[in-house]
Amino acid sequence: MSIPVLDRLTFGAKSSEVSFVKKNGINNWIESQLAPTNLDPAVEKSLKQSLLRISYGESADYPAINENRPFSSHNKTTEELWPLLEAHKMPYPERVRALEELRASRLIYAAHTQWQVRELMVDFWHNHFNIHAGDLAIAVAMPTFEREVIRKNCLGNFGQMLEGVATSTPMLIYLNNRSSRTGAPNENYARELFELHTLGKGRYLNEIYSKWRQVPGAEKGKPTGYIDQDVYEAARAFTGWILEDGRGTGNGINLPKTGKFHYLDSWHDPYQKRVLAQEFDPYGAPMADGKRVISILAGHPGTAEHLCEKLCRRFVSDTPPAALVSSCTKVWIDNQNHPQQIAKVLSHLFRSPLFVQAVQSGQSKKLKRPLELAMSFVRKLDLPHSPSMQLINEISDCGQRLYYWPTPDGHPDTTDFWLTTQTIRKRWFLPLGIMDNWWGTGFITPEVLSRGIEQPIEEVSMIKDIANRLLGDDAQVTLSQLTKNFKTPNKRLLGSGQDEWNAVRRTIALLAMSPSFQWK
Amino acid sequence: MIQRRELLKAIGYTAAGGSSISNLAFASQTTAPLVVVFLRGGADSLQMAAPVDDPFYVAARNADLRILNTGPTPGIRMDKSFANGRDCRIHWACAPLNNLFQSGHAQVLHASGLENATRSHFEAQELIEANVSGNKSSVTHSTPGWLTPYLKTHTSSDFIQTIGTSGGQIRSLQGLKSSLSLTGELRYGTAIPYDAIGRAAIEAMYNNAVSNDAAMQMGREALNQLAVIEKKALRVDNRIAPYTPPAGITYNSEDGGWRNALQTVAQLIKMDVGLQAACIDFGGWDTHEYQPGRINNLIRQWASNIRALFDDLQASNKHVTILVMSEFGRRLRSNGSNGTDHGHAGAMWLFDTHNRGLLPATQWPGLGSDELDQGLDLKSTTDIKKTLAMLAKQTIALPIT
Repeated sequence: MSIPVLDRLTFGAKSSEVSFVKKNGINNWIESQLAPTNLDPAVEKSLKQSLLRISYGESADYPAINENRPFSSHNKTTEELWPLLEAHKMPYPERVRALEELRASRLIYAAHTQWQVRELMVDFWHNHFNIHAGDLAIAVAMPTFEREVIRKNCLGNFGQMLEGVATSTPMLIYLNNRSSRTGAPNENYARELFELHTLGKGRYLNEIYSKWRQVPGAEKGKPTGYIDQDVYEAARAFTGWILEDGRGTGNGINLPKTGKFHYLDSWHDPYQKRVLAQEFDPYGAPMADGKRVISILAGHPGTAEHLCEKLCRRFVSDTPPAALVSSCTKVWIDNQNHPQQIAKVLSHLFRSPLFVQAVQSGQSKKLKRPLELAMSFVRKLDLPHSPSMQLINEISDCGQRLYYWPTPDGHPDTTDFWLTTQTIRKRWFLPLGIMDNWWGTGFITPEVLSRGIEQPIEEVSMIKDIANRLLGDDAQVTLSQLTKNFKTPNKRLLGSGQDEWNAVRRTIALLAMSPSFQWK
Repeated sequence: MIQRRELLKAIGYTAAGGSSISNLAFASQTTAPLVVVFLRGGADSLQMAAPVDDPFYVAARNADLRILNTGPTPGIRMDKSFANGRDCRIHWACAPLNNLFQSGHAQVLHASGLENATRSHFEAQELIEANVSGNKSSVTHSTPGWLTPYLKTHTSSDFIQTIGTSGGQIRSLQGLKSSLSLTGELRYGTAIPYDAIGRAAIEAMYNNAVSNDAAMQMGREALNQLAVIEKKALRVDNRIAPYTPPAGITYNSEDGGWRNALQTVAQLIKMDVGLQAACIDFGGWDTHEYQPGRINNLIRQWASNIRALFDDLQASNKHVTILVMSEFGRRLRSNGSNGTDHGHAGAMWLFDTHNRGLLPATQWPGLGSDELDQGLDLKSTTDIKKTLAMLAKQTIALPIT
């Protein structure tokens, strides 16, 4: 009933996806996933029809509001939303509405999109380039960042995405480059660019500190790692990469207030620089220094390895096999300038025997992230699903803080992080809350649960069928543990009695609280 | 149902380095749990405690990035200067802590740092929190946490050995099988779906004591630890009561997460569940921009609530040792964004209800350019890792004499 590779590459496979793969084979499905089109009717429909609650108390400037409202601002541009920064008399929930809609749209995409691999990659890149959206200026710029940088490039070319991130409003604010200027560079972005976005902290050779020639490979122009001097020089290279945020730039001149990227030549440090053993001439063309840093880093084999290891950790195992990381790294480097570089790497990864064997044999499981846990319950049972901020909050309590992970490293990608006494307890509540519509995700009627099941409905066989969909090979064992200790389900025909169906719903939710359902 | 003792044996209640088994008396009032507060982001300790009349200090920063000795908000002068002959002060918002310094219950250990003087948040945190001695190449995801080897094995199941309040994995306790994690208010942190019926069903599905399924193990651990709280917590109308601190003690509630974390720890200590260590995160200290307003807020919330926890436990005749640290200090010279970039050494803070003066004073290296580390940063004169080891050996699960 379940196809492990399909479950690994989705937020839980819907029955239609299982049927497609059974008919056409997993490789056909993978290839179509890696070349998504712009069509996504289920998502469009849900975005058009869904309502999202907004509520706040009254004040001297506005009346109280508590209403369900359609999605209207999640796709607005930064320029359109930027004036909200100065709308001090407007209630705060109105000013952050675009971000709230964006967060809720992630539930819509996860539940409904046919482009599941792309959606998993959106989550991957959001973590890789993590930005905490608690600052209002970041919040209003987040929709554009997600649309124009993350979604547009998530299967594309890494170097392009990196430049998109470097010039994006949220990153320029979050890592402070917007105030970095010649004579007063701010190191924050430059440091995380090396440590998190590209080479990784494993290539930070701090013990060498200032002796750049001692970095292995440096004398040949190909250093294997970086030191603080590279960070300082890169910080100089990015001076003047700022925002139109109204700030004064000297001589009484202020930048306009649009929130858009701006290169200010007079704030750029024009002198010669040395980054990763490469000499930059003084007085380069506008933005040339920063672009060159990005290009060196995007093309560095250390970046290829760091990123491929992260991809393998995400899709294969907490401790990915070195051979797989290495073959992905080769594909990454071979496709350095290819517009679909990332899709090429994923195609190699998902079709490699090492991956397929590890996933199919059940030897290398990944713990479902809380969003995956909730959505796999919805998708595997083909439940209706409306987006809900309360569910977002529950997912956050389980450890996954969409758009609110505080530090630039993103959520860790190992079981140790995700499993604590707190989070496992909160995870148990997700299927219950969805099943009983605690959070406004939609009523689950007997008709929904018994869809496709022969009339008259017999409880034991219906639960068996559902257990198979949820748990695959582990269904029987889990069900027998429940039956033995819990005297459910009962061998009986189900009518329309409320109590009977409440018991059924409880049994289904309990199945999804099992150890087995925590894994993909 | 399986026997709890069997369950404990099976999931292996042994701390990674602890070979000795000590039978702790939980009702004992003579041990003090070690509460470790981690200020995430690299707290600018030079704006928390500094020699305010040092000309190098004055020259390196604008007034609003310094502790001052004049004006409307001067720093609080310390009785004992940590920098020879200088006027050493703590930030004005540290006022609640001042008389703890005067009475000797508080210590500030300035110029503490890692030997591997990294300026990376993540590497520095990993080096501090993992059980290693400063060599980064030896750290992996499975390297035990620094606290793990010092924790003593309990022989009863009716205990909560450690608590972490940050939701995710507690890196300092890595490798420990028994660790409670709880965010938010304690009273909301114990419910199980469908109550007793749900507990029975979940126990049935999680009953494989020999499975190495991590979810199975954690589920069993959760059921076990929550049962202890359910049994010991103060109840009103058969529900766990909201927390009420003793009369006259007020926690700062500007950051609910920070307040809840400390109150959860206070409650567990008062429940006598055998708590040995607690790990609490308080984040937001990475002040590359707009530091003055941000750090004033942070220091106010930090100092108020450290004092509240201290007084709360003392009022209940409980002992506690509170250690506060951060992954590194920040640069002496401010940047152009009215903030500070990543530096090296910083301050560790220690508060001990038993007034033991647990740690020796540290050396102050000075702030002259030839006294700074790499010409930039406060130099480390005391290795954080050695301090941590010394402190753990002197405190965790040991009787106070």
